[in-house]
Amino acid sequence: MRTRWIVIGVVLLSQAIAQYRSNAASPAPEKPCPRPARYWLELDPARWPLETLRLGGQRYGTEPLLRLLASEARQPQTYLRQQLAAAKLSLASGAEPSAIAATVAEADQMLQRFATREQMLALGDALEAYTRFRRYTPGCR
Amino acid sequence: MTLHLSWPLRLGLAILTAIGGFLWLETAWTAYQADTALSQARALQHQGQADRALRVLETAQRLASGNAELALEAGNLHLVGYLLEGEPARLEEGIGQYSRATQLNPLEPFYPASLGQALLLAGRFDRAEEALERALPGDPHNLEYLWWMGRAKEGQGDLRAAREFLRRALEVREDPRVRADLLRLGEMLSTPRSGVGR
Repeated sequence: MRTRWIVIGVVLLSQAIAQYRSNAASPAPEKPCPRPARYWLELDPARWPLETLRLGGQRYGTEPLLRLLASEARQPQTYLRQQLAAAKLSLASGAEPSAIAATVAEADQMLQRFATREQMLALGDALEAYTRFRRYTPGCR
Repeated sequence: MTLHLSWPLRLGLAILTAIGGFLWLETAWTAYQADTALSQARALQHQGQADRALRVLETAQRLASGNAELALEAGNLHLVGYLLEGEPARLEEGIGQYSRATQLNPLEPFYPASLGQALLLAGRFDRAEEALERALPGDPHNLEYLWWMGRAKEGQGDLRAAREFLRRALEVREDPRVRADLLRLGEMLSTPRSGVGR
């Protein structure tokens, strides 16, 4: 009789502890959403996830990055560089990379070789769709 | 109702229950540790401490070696490291982690798809195609998988098949990333833009 109660007790206790453990596990926080160029421009650079950024093989410090992010020019190369900077800062802060990794790598390469105006604008648009319009991160819309 | 059992049977049942309870507890504890590590790693990455985040994940992987999500997260960290610094070694580390996630959970298509994308970045187009072939049946209308498959075909010189996959991707929905690739291929220059997207 006593053994049966011990068995039942062990089963119930193990279930309760297992349940407690799985409930106690705080759910992993959602990944941060990608942010557009304007967000990074307005954020204090001390709060950026990186101090320098490599864009198309060229390394940018805080000041040149701020100038780039503030640029209003729609000159294709500047636009692509600006969107690439916003995308990389978003990635460095933990935004989901899977949907944009190929485009980021392509943009980095494009800035180091000849590309047409249309190609650069198209790629810049793709990066802006990630950072500003959040088209590839459904949880962030 | 009372069930009469002989004492060796009672003892056997008690031992089995204790072992079952222990294993259950162990599994729940491991899942708890993995979740905690994921939370911690994401918080650290958000603060710009990617290296520390990676160490947290590596430690958690030693404790919960069967957790595919930890491998995926570590793979993502390496992938981002590669994109930011351009170090090929980081990409190789990422490929290793994505392969591990794929082996740990072969039923989830996102793992081989992530592996496929990393292999594309490494220029290993044939292996990327293999990985994406494993992902596509699980999610055949996924725009990204179709797009990456197009890139894998393009990388192997099969431009016709590449164009076909990119068009299939655009049939899912209009997308500037795929459009940019078609533009690069030069295949869409003479095709009216309005006829493709939905």
